[in-house]
Amino acid sequence: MRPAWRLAIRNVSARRRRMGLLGAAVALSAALIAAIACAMAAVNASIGMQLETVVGKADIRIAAPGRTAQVPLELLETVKNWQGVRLATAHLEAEFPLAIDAPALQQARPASRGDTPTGPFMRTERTLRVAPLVRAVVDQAGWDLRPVQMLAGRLPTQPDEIAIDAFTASRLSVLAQEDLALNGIGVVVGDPERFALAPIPVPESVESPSEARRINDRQGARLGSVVQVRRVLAPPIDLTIVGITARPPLGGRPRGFMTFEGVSRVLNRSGQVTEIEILVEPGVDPVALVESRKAQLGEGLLIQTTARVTSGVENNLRSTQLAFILASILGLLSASFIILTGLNTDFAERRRELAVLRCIGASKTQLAQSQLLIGLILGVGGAAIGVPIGVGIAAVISAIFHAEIPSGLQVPLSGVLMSTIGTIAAGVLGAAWPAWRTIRMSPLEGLAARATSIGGRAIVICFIVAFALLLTHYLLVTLAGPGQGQYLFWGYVFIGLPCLFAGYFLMGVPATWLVTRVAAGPISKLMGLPPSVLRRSVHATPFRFGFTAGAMMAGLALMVAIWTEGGAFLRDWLGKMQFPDAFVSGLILPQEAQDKVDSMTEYVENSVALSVIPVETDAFGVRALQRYQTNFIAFDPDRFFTMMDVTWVQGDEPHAIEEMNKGGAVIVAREFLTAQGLGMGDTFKCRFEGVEHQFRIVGVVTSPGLELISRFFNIGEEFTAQAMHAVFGTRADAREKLGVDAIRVISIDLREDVSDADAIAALRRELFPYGIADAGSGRAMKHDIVEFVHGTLLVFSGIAVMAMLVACFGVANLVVAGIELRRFEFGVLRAVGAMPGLLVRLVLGEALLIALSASILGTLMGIQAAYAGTRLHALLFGILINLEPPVVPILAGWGFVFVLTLAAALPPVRRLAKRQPRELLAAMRG
Amino acid sequence: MIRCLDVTKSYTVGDRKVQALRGVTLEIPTPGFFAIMGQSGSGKSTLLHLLAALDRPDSGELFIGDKPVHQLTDKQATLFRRRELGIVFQQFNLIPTLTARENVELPGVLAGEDAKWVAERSTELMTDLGVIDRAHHRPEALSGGEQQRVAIARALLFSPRVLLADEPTGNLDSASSQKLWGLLGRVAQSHETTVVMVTHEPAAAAHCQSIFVIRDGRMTTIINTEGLDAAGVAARYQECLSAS
Repeated sequence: MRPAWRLAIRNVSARRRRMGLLGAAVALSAALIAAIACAMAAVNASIGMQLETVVGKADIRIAAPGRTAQVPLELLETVKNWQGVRLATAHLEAEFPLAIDAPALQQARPASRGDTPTGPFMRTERTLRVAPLVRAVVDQAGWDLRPVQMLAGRLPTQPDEIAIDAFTASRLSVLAQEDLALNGIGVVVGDPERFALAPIPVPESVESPSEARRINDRQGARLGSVVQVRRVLAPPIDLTIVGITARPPLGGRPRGFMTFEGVSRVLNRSGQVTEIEILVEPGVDPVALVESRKAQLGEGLLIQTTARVTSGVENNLRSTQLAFILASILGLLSASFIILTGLNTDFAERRRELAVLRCIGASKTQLAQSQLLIGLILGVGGAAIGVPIGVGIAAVISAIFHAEIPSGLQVPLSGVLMSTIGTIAAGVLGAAWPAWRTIRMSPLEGLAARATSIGGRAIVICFIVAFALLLTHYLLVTLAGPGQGQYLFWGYVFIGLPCLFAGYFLMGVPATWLVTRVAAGPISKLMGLPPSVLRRSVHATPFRFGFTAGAMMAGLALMVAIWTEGGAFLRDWLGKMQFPDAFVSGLILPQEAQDKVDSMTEYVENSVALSVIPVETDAFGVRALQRYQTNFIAFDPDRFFTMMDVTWVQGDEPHAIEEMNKGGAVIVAREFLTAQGLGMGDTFKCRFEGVEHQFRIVGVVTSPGLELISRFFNIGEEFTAQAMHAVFGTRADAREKLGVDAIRVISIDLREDVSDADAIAALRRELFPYGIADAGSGRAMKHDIVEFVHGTLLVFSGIAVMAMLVACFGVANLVVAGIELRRFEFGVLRAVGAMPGLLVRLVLGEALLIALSASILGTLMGIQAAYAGTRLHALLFGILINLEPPVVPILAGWGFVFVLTLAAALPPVRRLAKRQPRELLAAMRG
Repeated sequence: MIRCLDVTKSYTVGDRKVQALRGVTLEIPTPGFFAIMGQSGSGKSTLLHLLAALDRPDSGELFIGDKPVHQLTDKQATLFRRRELGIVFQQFNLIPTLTARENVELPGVLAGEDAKWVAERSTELMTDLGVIDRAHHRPEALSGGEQQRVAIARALLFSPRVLLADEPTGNLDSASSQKLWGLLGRVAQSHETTVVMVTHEPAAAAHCQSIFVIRDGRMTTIINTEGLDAAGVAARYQECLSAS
């Protein structure tokens, strides 16, 4: 092995620039994978922190079915004495409105609507409102099971004390009210420590906007402030803010913390809790304990392991891990291809050298080993440089987004190992083909004339194999039907995706050949090159050029796929949703809230109250990875269909209303029909709190977006119970079958002649005493969702550009190698009178052909990948979207490919232009 | 003794079959300096490749000493070329990314020999061949003659029994060529190595003690060069070509 090492090291050190380029590509791939691994670990750790805060550390919980029922506190003592219970505690949760009156500086409103306010900022009084979810524990153990991170002050100890989280504090702040968006979600809470600072005095007026803003920023609820619980038909209750807590990681609703006595007093209830939480002794099986105690509790109470609650999260985390592994494998395959192309080019350049080595006694094994060792050196070097860089990038991202990713930098061993070992494997894998060629090459073959043309047969074989792979991918995704989503998913992961990747990579060879055949002439004319020189130069080595184009296409394919699919998703699914004009939401809204809405006739045209109940179903998702629930949206059918604009895919409104009023009937969203073939006359099965229920399907409709609204309000907490799409039933069925009657959302049709801003402000003001969490505009929410999706697309586009950058190094290596290989040829050209500019244009012309081939391949691959995505969406999630490749992102992607390819080629080309003919001709020496 | 017994070899070029050797039989006594001469396409390089175990004959036998070269496996042939044979080509002998010394030491590296011994041996050879001053230069910085001398030094690292040279002066000027032929003769004598040189130049062959003439894949004549100068060799060679 020693001779092979020495040969390898000598080769690497003799071609430092070229090996450096290959190494840089590998390092960048490793960095990308390591960065993604760390970022995902940080997000998952933050979710884990959220779990502790929201779900807690308990193994078992006891609750009452439905949201309105409570658990008797006296049960806690019984539970504490159960065998196998290490710790038991209870908490009471409720949502109730808090308000504070605060001074603020405000400019006078202009006389005409639409004009900007002007003039000095005058002192005024504002009422700030929020309805946080307030939690109270019966003992210290409650805080241990669900830790609360204090930013300032302390947890309450008296009934008239409250601690609020930074989100609640921001909602009770003057500036937050100014910045509050129409969707009602609120501002991102930056610098939460400022809520510990006392308010500052407010002058009667100020001139400067920045001064007004500075003063307003210090107004509202702060440590020591008094807030009031203000409800309809109840006297207000004063609470002193004694603590500011951190906002739960990854968002969620506003929260507060009080003593048990305090919350009981507000609710005017005693001796009742929302949940009893249990931590079992080590070695005790929570499932067995649950089974043994079910009968004792009876039907009025629900006992379940919290794994049922978190399992959805863990499945989701598992699915993101799978996505990461897949993305890493594809990224490393890409790096492998770059190394393969680079080392293959190196092999071609060194054929004679390798032949001489064989002649003087080097064995096939030694030379093959030296090739593999070069790959190993590239892989190890790439990992050694790239992984720390990736971790560094993740550290920077964690620091910048520390509010959103509170767990900070996480460096998962599995991710680092994946990146390191994967990169090393990529290096060795990339060297395997050149090593194989070395073994197969006879010394005489290597000593033969340098120019050997590639037969057309090899290109045809390449095309046939590539076509077969791509056809396999196409048939796999096309032939799967409704109900076969699970098979399609796993088939796609293990067969479809590799076929797509390998197929297009191989297709790079015939595609580049064809593109050259067509485009070389016009490019030659454009660049003032002699006819045929460019075409023959590329056709002489179609595999080298083809594989390099293949390496370049991956980033563009990613960009095309995400924008095609993302754009289709926005246009065909989200875009077609008819959101309600406005809505209010809360944990449990009383009927009086609905009545109040109906009374606001100066703003409201119509309204309907909805219960939104997540139920378990197997209709969507990959069962091994994710368990999606679906929303059972319950309403009064007559009111609902009067105001909601739905499109009937199957069935009709009169028949559906008649059947629903009979009971036991639902309408399903069309995604059920698409994914599972469930339609009119079929049975919809679901489970709620452990009990199975069945409903007749009496219609299929397009979604009115209500389930999205519900998710939007629960943003950050939905990962504990992700629900997809919706079924629609009556409130009577929800009450009788599911035991839930709580109104969660009131969907509102606004009058045509009112503005969203005025209507939302009025709704908040008037409904606040009824315990609403918030009010929002459907239009604004849809706009925000669209913005969020656009943002996500831009992030993925960034990753795609990074992938193109990685491939750039491969291009640069190819150009350098190509120049070295043809040094003598270039020397002859110069000797017979060609100017340096001709050589430059020739090499740049080759780079242009690579870019053109890569752009075409990348676009086709992206579209085919997007097509597969639409099929997966349809069969796994029931979402139907049509493919319409977006022109602008594709053109932008083409632009990136061309610019990066030419940029990669420029430095070696410039060096070539400076070399003298004699130097080039000396390539024949040795 | 180097022996070839009725050796045949053919190649396929495109869709044409070319019979390079048509039953060559010869015996080359060892040690000494010998030439194989013939016109372009006569099969002389093919014969050299067979002797170097770079290829296998279609039929016939080749022996170098008692080693049946025609029967060697790839591994055996590799080891044979490493330790018992030296090869010098017309051009592209040297690895361009290695210095002259590293090129000379290369067979020793491949054999895993003791580095100290390899260094000493390469110094001895390079001094003997007059290229020690160029030890740290890469091939591109050496003249053609210097490159060929470095190649010869490499070929002699393990003191092989046979040194095969395929048109070693093809790319050199006449002065350098003369020097190289003289050098090869001296190597044959001082290292007790059999040097077999393939050439088409009578001036080169005049330095050898015998010339084996190949024509159309067959051995036709053996010319004893004793007492002949280059012109004499050329005349005898022309006679051979005319007579066949």
